Amino acid sequence: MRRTYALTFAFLLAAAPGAFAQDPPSIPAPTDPVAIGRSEFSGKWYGTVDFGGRVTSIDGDEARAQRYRDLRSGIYANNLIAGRRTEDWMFEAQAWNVGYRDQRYQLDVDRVGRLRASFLYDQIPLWISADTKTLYVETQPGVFRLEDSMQQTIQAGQATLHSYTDQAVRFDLKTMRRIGQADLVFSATPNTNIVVQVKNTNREGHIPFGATFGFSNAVEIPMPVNHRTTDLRTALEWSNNKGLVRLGWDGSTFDNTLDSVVWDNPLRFGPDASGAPSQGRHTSWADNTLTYVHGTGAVNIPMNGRLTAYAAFGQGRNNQDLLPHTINTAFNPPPPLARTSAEAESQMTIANFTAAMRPARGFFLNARYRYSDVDVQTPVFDRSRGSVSYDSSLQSSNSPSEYHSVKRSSFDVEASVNVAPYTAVKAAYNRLGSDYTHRIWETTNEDVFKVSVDSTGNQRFMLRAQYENRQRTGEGFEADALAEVGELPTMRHFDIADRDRTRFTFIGTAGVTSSIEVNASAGVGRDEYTESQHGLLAFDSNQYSIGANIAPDDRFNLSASYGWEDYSSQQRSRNASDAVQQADPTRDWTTDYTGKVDYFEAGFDINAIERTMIRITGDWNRSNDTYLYGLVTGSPIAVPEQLPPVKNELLRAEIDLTYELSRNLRLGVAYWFDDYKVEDFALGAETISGIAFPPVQEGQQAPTTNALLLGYQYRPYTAHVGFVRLTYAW
Amino acid sequence: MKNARTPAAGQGCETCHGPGEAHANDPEKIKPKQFNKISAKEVSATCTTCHNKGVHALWKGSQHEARNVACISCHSIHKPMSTTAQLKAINQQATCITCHRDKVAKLDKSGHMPVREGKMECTSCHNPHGTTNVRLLKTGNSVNEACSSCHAEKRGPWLFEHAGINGESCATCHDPHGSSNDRMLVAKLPFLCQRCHNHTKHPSTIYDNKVVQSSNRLFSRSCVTCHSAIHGSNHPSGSTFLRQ
Repeated sequence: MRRTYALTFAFLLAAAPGAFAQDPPSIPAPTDPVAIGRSEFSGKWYGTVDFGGRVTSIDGDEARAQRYRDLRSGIYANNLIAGRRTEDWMFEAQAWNVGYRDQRYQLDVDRVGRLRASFLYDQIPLWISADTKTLYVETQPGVFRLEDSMQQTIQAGQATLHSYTDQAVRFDLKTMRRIGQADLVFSATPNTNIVVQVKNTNREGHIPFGATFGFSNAVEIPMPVNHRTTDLRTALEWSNNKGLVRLGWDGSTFDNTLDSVVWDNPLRFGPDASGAPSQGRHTSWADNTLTYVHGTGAVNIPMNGRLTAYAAFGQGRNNQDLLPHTINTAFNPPPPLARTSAEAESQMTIANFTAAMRPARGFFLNARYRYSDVDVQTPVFDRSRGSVSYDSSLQSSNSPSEYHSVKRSSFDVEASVNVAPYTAVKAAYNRLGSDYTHRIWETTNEDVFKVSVDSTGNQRFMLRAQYENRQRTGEGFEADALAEVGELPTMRHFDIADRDRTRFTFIGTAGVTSSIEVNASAGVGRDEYTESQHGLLAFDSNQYSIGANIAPDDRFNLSASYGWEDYSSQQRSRNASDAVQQADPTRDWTTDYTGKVDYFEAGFDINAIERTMIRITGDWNRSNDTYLYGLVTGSPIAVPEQLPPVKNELLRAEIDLTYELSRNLRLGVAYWFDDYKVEDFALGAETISGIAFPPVQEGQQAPTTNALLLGYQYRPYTAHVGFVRLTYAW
Repeated sequence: MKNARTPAAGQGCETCHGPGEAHANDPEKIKPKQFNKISAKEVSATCTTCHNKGVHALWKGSQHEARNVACISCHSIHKPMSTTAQLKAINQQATCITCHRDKVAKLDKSGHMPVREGKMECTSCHNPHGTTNVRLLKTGNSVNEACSSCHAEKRGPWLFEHAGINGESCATCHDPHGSSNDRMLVAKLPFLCQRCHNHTKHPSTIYDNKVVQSSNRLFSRSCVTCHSAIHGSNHPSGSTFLRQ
C-alpha cells in the first residue's frame, strides 16, 4: 500500500468548460467570459486559468488508480486558455495539467477562409504496476542480466529461485506515449483545400513480456519499449455543391531503437547445452512502413442522389535483418537462415462505391460495394534446415511459413420509406464474400438481412429498433490446415466458422412531461456456430437499460440510468495427446462461460442557490464472470476442480461545487471517490503472491521453480481526491 | 464573419431558415424552416450545403445517415452544451451514449482505453459523419489498420503471421471499448485461445483450480507468458510465437 498526501491551496483561474478528466468537470455559467469570447469576434483577448491544489490519497493499487492519468498531490494549473477572435483571425492556446505526466497543450490558429492550423502535444501515461519486482538488471538497453552466483547455485541444485526472491528490486512498470501533431488545412481557392497532417508518437518505458525457455522455465522480463511512429497524411480536396474530388498520400513509418532483447536463464549459468541455454534472445518489434495513395470522387446525380467512389492502393513493408535462430552457443553454428532479412510485404487494394438516391420524398435507396484485397507477398521462409525452439531445442523438421492473404467483396443495398411522420422503415441486404489463403475455408459467404424502424425528429419521442439476421457459410474445407498442426478435424476457428447470428436492438426515449424524459434500450444477440463441434459453439448476449432525465426547471437536472447485461458462451475441447485419443469423444470437455454486468449512472446538477452551482455524479459497474468445466459421461479425465469467478467492481463518485465570486472569478471545491475491487484467479494477489512459481507451501520445501515472473497482478484500490481551485476568466 | 465562402456571412439566419422577407410578407403561407419539424434528411441536406468537405464529405449514404440520424440529433446550433463541435450534450461520450449505451458502459471496465480519463474520445477512432473504412473508423482501410495507426508495433507484415490478424480484425480477440479481461480481451485466457486451438499438445488440457498456482498456462498472463509474440514474429524460430 502506498499513500500519498499533500496539501495545496488554490487559486482558481478560468476553468474552461469541457476540460480533461483529471480536472473536476467545470460547470459552465451563462456568463462565462470564455464562452462569450468564443462566440463573438470582438478582437478582445479572452481566456481562463484554473489554478488550485489537489490532495490525493490512494489505498491499494496506486498504478491502476492512475493508469492513464496523473493525480499526484500538489499545486496544479489546468484549463489554461488564451484566445482572440476577429472576423479575420482566430487564435487560441490551451494547456491542461501543466507539468504533470498527462499534460497536454494545443494551439489553434485560423486565418478565416485561408488557413487553419492546429498543433498538439499530448502525453498519455500508462502505469501498469507499482508493485512489480525483478531480479534482472538491465545492464544496457535490452540486455537483462542476473547475478552469476545465483545462476550457478541454482544450476548446481544448491538453491531454488525462492532463495533469491527477497533480492528482487521493485520498479514501476509503465510507459509514456508522447504525441506531437500538426494539422494544416490551406484553402488555395474557395473550393480547394490542401490538407497536411504530421504526427509523431514516441513511446518509452517497459511492459511485461514473456521470455520463456520451456514448459518448466517460464520467464517474464520488463520488455523495453522505445519506438517512434511518424505519420504524414496529405490530401488535395476540391469540392462544390455538385461534387468532390480528393487525392491523397498517406505514409507511416515505425522505428524501433532496439533490434533485440537478451536475458539470462535463471536456472543455468553455462556453458550452454542443448536444452539448457544460459540466455535467450527475442527480436524487438520490427521496423515497418505503411503507405497508401488514394482517391475519392463524389458527384450529385438525379433523384437528389450522390455517387461516391474511393480507391486506395497501399503497401506494407518490413525488411528487418533477421537474427540467428538462437543465441544458444550449443548450436554452433545455428541452423542456417533461408534469407538474411524479413522481406515481408503486403499489397493492399481497396475500392468503395456508394450510390445514395432519393427517388421520392420519404423514400431512399442506398447501394454500396466494397472490395478489399490484402495480398501478402512475403516469400515463403524455408525452415527445412532446422530451427531452435525456446533457444533450447533443435527442431529439424519444420513446415515452411504460411501467409494469410484475404480478399473480400461486399455488396449491400438498403431501402427506406417513411411510413408516418418522422418514422422510417428500412430493409437492407448485404452479401459479404471472403477468399482466404491458408485458413480452414477457402471462401466464406455471409448473407445479412436487416429490418429497422427509426422514429426521429419528434422532440418528444424517439425510437430506434433493428432486427438483424446473418448466416455465414464456408466452402472448400482445408483439412490439411488443421491436420498439419495436429488440430482436431472438427475444430472450426470462430472468426470464419459457419455461423448463424440474430440480433435485435432497441432504444427509445419519450418525454413523459415537459420536464421528464425516460429512456430504455435492449440488445439481444445469439451467435450459433452451426458446424463447429469443437472450439466456440455459441455466444449469447443480452443488454438492457432504463433511465430517466428530470429537469423541472433551470435549477435542477437529474439523470439516472441502470443497465444489466448477461453473456454466455459454450465451447468444447477434446483432451488428446495422440491420434487415438483425438478420435475418442469421451475425452471431450466443455467450458461454459457466463458473465453478468450491472451498472448504474447518475448525475445531479443543482443551480438553486444564488451564485452556486453543484454537480454530483456517480457510476457503478460490477461484473461477475464464471467459467464452468464439464465432462461427458464416462469421461476418463479427472473431475476438474472448478475455477472461482472473476469479479470486477468499480464505484466512482464526484461532487463539484462552484461559487461565483464575481463575473470573472469563481471558487471551486471538488471531491472524487474511486473504489475498485477485483478477484481474479490468474492475476489476483492470491495467485500472484510473489515472483517465483509455484509458491512455497507452508511447511514444505521450496518446489522446483517453473516460472520467474514480475509479479504483475490485479489489485483493488480506493482513491480519494480533493480539489480546491480558483478560476479566473477574462 | 468575413469568410466569404460561408453563406452565413451574407445571409445570416436566412442561410438555414429560409427567406425572412418572404415570411414577413406572408407569415401564414411562408414559414421559416424549423429543424425540429422537418425530416432528418431535410435537416442534413440543409447542413451539408456548407459542410460538404473534410470530415463531412461522406455523410450521404453513411451508416448514420441511413438510420435517419440528423445533424441536429447530435448538434445544437444555438444552444450547444459542449465546448467543441456544438454538441447537444456536454461531450462526445454523453452524445454517443444516447444510442450506443452498451459501448459507453464498457468504458468503466477494468480494461479500457483512456476515454474516461479524457485522453481519448469517440472521434479518436471514429468519424460519425462517414468514412471510407468499415465501422465508421476514420483511419486506415480495415479494423486492423485503424488500431495499428497507434499500435504500429503490431502492424506487421511479419515473417510469421498469426492467422486472422493480417487484413482482418483486432476485435476478434480484443474489445476496443472495454472488457473485464486483461488487455481488453473478449474472453479470459486460456479460454479465448482454446476457442481456436485444440490440438494434440497442451492447448486441449483442462487448466483447473488445482493447477492455478503451478501451471504457467493458467496463472499470470496465461498462454502469452510463453507465446508472447502472439501478434506475429520476426524471429526465424518464431513460428509458434515463442520468440518475437
